[in-house]
Amino acid sequence: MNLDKTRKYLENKKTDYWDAREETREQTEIKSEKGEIQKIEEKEKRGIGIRTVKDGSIGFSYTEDKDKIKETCEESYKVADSLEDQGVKISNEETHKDKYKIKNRAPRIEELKEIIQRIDQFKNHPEIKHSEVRIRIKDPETKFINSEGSEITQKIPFGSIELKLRGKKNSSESEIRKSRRLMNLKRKNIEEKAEEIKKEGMKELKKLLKAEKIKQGKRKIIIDNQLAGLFAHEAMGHALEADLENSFLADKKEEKIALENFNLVSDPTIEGTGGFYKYDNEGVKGKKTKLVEKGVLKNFMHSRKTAGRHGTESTGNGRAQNYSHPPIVRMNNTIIESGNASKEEMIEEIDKGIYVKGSQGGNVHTTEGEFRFISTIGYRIENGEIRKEKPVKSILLSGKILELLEKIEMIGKDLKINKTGGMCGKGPQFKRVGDGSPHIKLEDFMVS
Amino acid sequence: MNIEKSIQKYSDKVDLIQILKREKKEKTVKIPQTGEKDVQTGKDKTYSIKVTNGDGIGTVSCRGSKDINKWIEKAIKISKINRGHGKLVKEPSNKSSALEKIGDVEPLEIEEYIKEVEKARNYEGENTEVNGAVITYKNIKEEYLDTLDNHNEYEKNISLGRVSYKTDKENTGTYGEYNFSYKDPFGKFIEACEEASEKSKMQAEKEEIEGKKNLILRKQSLIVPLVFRLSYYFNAYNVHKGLSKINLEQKIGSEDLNIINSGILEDGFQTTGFDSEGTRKQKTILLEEGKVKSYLHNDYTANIYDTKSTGNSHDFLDKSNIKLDNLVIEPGKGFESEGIIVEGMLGNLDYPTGDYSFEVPTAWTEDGKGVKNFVFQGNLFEDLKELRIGKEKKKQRPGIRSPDLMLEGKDIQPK
Repeated sequence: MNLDKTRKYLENKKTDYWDAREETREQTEIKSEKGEIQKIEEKEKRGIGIRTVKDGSIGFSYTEDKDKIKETCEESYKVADSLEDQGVKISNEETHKDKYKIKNRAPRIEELKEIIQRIDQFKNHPEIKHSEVRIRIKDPETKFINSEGSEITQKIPFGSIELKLRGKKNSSESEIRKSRRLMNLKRKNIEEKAEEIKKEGMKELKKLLKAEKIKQGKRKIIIDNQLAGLFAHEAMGHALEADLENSFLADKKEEKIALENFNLVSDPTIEGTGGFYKYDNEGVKGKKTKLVEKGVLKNFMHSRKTAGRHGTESTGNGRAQNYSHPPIVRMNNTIIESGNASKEEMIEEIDKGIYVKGSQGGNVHTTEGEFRFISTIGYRIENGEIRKEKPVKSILLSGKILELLEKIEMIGKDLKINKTGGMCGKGPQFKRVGDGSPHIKLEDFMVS
Repeated sequence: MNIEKSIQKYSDKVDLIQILKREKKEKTVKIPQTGEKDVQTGKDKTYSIKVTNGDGIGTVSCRGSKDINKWIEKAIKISKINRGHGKLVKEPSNKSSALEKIGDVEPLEIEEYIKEVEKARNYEGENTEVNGAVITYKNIKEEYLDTLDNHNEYEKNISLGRVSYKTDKENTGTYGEYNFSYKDPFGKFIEACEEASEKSKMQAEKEEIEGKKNLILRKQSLIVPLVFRLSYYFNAYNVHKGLSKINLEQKIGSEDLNIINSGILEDGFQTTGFDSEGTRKQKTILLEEGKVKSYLHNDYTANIYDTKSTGNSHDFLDKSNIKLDNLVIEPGKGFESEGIIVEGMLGNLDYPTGDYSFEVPTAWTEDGKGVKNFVFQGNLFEDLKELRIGKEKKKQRPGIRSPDLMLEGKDIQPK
C-alpha cells in the first residue's frame, strides 16, 4: 500500500534508478535476574526508506509516517537532483519478484516467561551469586521495490538467548556470558539452546573461578572455532568490504596473503545461521563468494553501489539495519574453510602454549590492518596436552592482521559455524551476522 | 493532545502511566574515501510507554500516536504478567510545561553542510590528508507525561562532525579520527585537521619503548577505563544486585580525586532537559577526595535506597539501565614528572575484579616522538588510589571535562 504510493510518486520523476524498502518489525524482549522477571517489553518499528539516483548522484530519505511518503520521496529526489555528478553507478543486476516468508512463530510471552524462569535457577549452586537470562525475538518483514521492476517480500524471524553468570569462590570472582542465535523459534528449540548455554556457562565459570591471569608476552597459541570465527569476521571480513577503500587489503587483489590452505568465503545461503538471507536489501539474491582462495585474495564484498564503481557485479552484500539507513556493504556469514590438521596434531607439537577459547568481542582498524580480540577463557598447553586443570582468564590478543596470517602454522579440519547471537556494528548500523572456522594454530603471538 | 487524553482515559485503571515521546530529525552529509557526496535525511517518532500497577510493570514502545490506546492496553496486559517489582513511589516534582531549548545550533540547508564537509575533506596538511569527513545535524524533541501531572518538554539541537585522516606521503599508514560536537562543528573541522596533521607528524616514525613508565592519559584514552566503567560501578542497580562492590563513604580513590556526573554541563554531549523518567537533569558528586558520595539513581533504585533519583534513567523501559551523563573530574595538584602521552587505548577490563589488559595504539613522548604500540596490565581500583590528577581542566571529549591523568610506573611491553 505505502510502496504503491511511493512507486506512483517516483515513477513521475526523472531518475536513473530508485528503490524503496518498507519495514515492519515487532520485537519482544524478556529478561530475568536470579529467577525473577526483571523486564518484559514489546516494541514495534515501522517505516519506509527511499533511495534515488539521478545523473550520478544519490539521495536517501526515510520516514515512519505513512502520511509523509510524498514529502520523503521529494526529499530523496531533491538531494540527488541538486548534487553535481558524483560518479555513482548502480550495478546491473537481475530483477526478482518473490515472496520469501519463513513461518517461525515464537511462543507467547507467558511461555517465554516459563522458559526463562526454569533456566534461571541456580539455588543449588552457591558459587553463583548473580544470574541473568534474556530472550529477544525479532520479527521483521521487509518489502522491497525498485525502478527495474523487482518486488521482494522477505520475512525471516529470529531471536537470541543470552546468559550472564557471576560467580564467587573464596577470594576469586568471575563473570561469563554465553549466547545462542535462535533462527528456529519453536519452544523446544529455545529450551534446548537455553540448556546448552546453561551447561556450558556453568562449566566455564567454574574453570574461570580457578583461573590465573596470564602475564603479557609472546606465546604459541591455538584458537578455537569461536575465536577464529571472530577473526574471520573482524580482521578479514571488514577489510574485504569494498566500501572501505583505505583498507590495508584494498590493493592486494590476486596477491598471496596467507598460506596455501587458507580459504575464506562469504555465504548467506546456509539456512539457520546468523548471516542467512535470501535477498540483500538491494534486491540482489544472496550467494556464496570466495574471498580468499588458496591464500590468494580473490574478491571483495560488494553492494550495487560499490560494484557499479568497480565495474563488477554485486556479491549480494548490500544490507541496511532498517528502513532508516541506506544499504552499505555488510557481511553475512564469514567463514574460514576447513584445512587438513586435526586438533590433536596441532596440540601435540606444542611444549608450552595456550589454548584460547571463546570470544567476548573485538575490533579492527582496517586502514592499519590491526586487530584486538578478547577471549572468554584459556588453558595452558604443556608437553602436547591441554591442561584443563590450568585455566587462564580472558586474554587480549592484538596485532597486525597480515602478521597473524603469516603466523598461521596449521588450519584444522573441524569447521564449525558459530551458534552465538552475534550482531555487527559498522558506523551507526547494526546487523545480525554469522561466522565460522576450524581451530587455528599460531606461532609466537602477543597475548596479555 | 491525543496522548494526554489517553493518559486520562487509563489513569483510574492503573497506579501510574508514563509516556516518553521522542522525535528525531536528522541530516547527514558524508564524503568518504571515495569522494562521493552522500546525503541522508529522515524523521522518526517513538512513544515509550510504561505502566506500573501494584507490583507489576509493563513496558512497550510504538510508532505513531494513532494506536496509542492499543499499546497502553498491551502494557497493562504485560504488567499483569510481569509482577514482583515492589511498589514504585513517584512524586509529582518536576512539572514544567515550558519547552526548554538546549544547544544553540540552528539547522542549515544541505548545501551549506556540503560546503563545510568539502572544506574539511580537501584539507591538506604538511604530511597528512583527510580521507573522509562527515557532519550530522540532529534535532531531538522529547516530551514526558505521566498520570501524576508531570509534563516536561525539551528540544536539543546537536551537530556532530568527524574527520578521519591518514599520513600517506611516507606511506606509514598512520591514521586517526577526530570527533567534535554540539555547538560549533564548522569552526572545529579545520582545527581538527590541523591537530591531526601535527600528530601524524609525530606518529610518522615510532620508536619502541619498554620497561616501567609513567602514562599520561588524555582524550580518547579516558573513555575505555573511566566513562564506561564508572557508569557500571556507580549504577545503583548494580550496587543493589551486588555486581558493583563500592559503598557510600568508602575511600576508593586518591585524596586528589573528585568526580562529578553532570547532566547540565554547558556544551556537554549528554546534556538533556530531563531523563527518561521525567526527572530533571542535575549535577551529582560521585567521588569527593576519593570517597564515594553518591550512586547514580533512577526512580526504582531511589525507592530502594530511600533517596531521590539523580536523573540518570537512560531508558525507562529497563530499570537497570542507569548511565553517566557527562563526566567531570576536578583539577588536582598536578604532576611534575614526565610520561608517555596516551591518546588511544583499547582492551579488556574484567568487571568483577577491575583487572585489565590494554593496548595503546596512539602515544608519543613529551618531546613529540611517536611510540610503537604497546600493551600494559593493571587493576582499575588500584589505579584510582594512586591516580595523579593534572592541574588544568580540559574538554577532553564532547562529554568529558577533566585534566590529564597520570598512571605512574606502569610496566609496558611493545607488541
